[in-house]
Amino acid sequence: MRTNNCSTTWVTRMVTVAGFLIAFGMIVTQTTQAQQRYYPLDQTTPPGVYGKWSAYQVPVRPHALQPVKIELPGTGQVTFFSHARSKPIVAAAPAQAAIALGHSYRLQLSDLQDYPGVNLYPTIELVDVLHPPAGQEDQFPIPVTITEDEIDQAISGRLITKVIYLEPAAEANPLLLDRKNPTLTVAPQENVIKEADLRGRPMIILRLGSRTPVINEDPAFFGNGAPLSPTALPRMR
Amino acid sequence: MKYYFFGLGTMMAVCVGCYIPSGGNSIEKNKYVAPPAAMMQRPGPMVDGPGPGVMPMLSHPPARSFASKTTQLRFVEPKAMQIGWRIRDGYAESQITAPGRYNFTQGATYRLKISDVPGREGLTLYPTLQVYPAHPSTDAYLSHNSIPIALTTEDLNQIESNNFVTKVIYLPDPKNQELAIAGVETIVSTRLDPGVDPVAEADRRGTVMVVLRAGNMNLEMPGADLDMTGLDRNGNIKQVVHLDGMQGQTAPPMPIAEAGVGLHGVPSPMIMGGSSMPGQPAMHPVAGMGPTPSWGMPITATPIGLPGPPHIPLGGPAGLQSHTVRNLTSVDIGQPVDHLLIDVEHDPGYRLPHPVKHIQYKETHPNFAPGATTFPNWAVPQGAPQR
Repeated sequence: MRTNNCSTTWVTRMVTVAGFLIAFGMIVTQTTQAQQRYYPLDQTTPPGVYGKWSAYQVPVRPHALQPVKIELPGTGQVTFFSHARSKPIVAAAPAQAAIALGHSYRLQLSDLQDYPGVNLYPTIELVDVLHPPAGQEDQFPIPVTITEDEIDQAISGRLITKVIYLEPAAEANPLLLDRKNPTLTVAPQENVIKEADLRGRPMIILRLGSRTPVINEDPAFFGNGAPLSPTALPRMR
Repeated sequence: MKYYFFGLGTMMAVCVGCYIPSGGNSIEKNKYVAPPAAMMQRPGPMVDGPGPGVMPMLSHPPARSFASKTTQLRFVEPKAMQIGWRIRDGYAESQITAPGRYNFTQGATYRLKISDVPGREGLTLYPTLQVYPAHPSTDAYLSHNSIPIALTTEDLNQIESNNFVTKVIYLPDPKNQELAIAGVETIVSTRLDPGVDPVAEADRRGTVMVVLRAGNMNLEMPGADLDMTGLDRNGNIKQVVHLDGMQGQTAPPMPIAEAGVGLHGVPSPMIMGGSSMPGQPAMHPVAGMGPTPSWGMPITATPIGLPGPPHIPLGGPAGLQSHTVRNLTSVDIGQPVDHLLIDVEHDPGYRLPHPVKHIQYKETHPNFAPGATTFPNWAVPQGAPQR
């Protein structure tokens, strides 16, 4: 009779411990898998690949273009190129133009304040679009802000890869920002696209370097003829 | 009690699982490993077609925008140095004055001519410039940046001292980058230990983009280069051409060697896309494009039955009877899903009038007794009495 009591207690303990261990194991496994999400793209991915994949995945509105606003640290001129032989869009900063999802565009930044004689040719790659109210697309451009530090780094021969993302509505700051969009700098060992994706929805990839067109420049330097349209700057709100 | 601990340990191993640190090239548990960058340029086989169930083409943006076919070199210093290059029948001198830029077609080697180096009168160098094709990991950099090349005082001293200087400019891998923003780094052979290959060292740290090799050999002495001072195919004395950029005479550089092509059609040790014509940009070996076979097609030939290196001496009977290549890559991509269940729900749901499932249709016709109705004329049977 005493033996039976011990056996019953032993089995009860084992079942209880096993239950705890199973629950603990499931929690650990799910947490680990959530943290180890697979990110196939990073800052070393060739330009255009992310955009192409986005064109596959994002429900595209045919012929709909996304306005983009380029902001410089001071005054300056922004030129949007679509093709070497097509007429570019030239506007003073902040300049705005509408571009197509999945495509990359070459820009020219010239007449930069505090940078006399410096011309930079960054590229922007649109990987996602906004969904503004119908008819007000021009009022909600994606802002691309270029800072003085980024211009200095580009002039010194470095390549800046910047991902502009849209923060999730549930986590957005309800207050109006009184400064430029906050920028987070990550280490080169980190995946900048992953970091942007963890914080929101990547919209545009900006790549800024120091290469300038020379006399024997390849026409592909200026783009492949992607759709490009001028738009009006948003009204002050 | 010992059975209790034994049972507890067994339960723990079963429930939580055993973790044994793995070594070598196996994949660490709970970590995902991306394929090489070159394989990321397309969704993959059976995804972007051709074939059944492929992803449709929603739009047609190029896979690689601004694909760099040229590498822009920026000759930084010494300032006022004149840079020329080899052309078909001579040299085009003073094509660039440092600091200056020029786009060199990738996948080729060029012969430069450097002269008028400040402070070193009479010094003329003929270095070679090997421009590597863009790699997927360097494509973004090369399409946005120029590569600086500088001959420092130490480099010039080494060259004049009859030393051979090799400068390798490479883009370090992210794990080897010291600064927060991507930039090139340079390895100079004179700063390495004897016997260390600067190209291999740079390749270990990142992706090589440009190699400059310089010595003090004079290539324009009489008889130094038969191509320039000898006879042409017709036996006539060949005219050496010299262009002077200072007088507005310019010409593009002519490659003296191409990457990816060795002697007698033997591929060179450097695995990269080669160009089909001299001076043309290097073509990247993309599966299914051009001469590169599609994915899944066997491309490796076996030397079974052929005389050659696998069974020296040459000319002897074929001795190789087995040629096995084993792929020991650790692969864990899961099994195909056989049954997929997706639960979707709208909140609030839909509420609409229920569809009609019973229709009652009734027609009432007038009922006339015989003789109480009339017919139109055309409906009256022939021969019937007219009323």
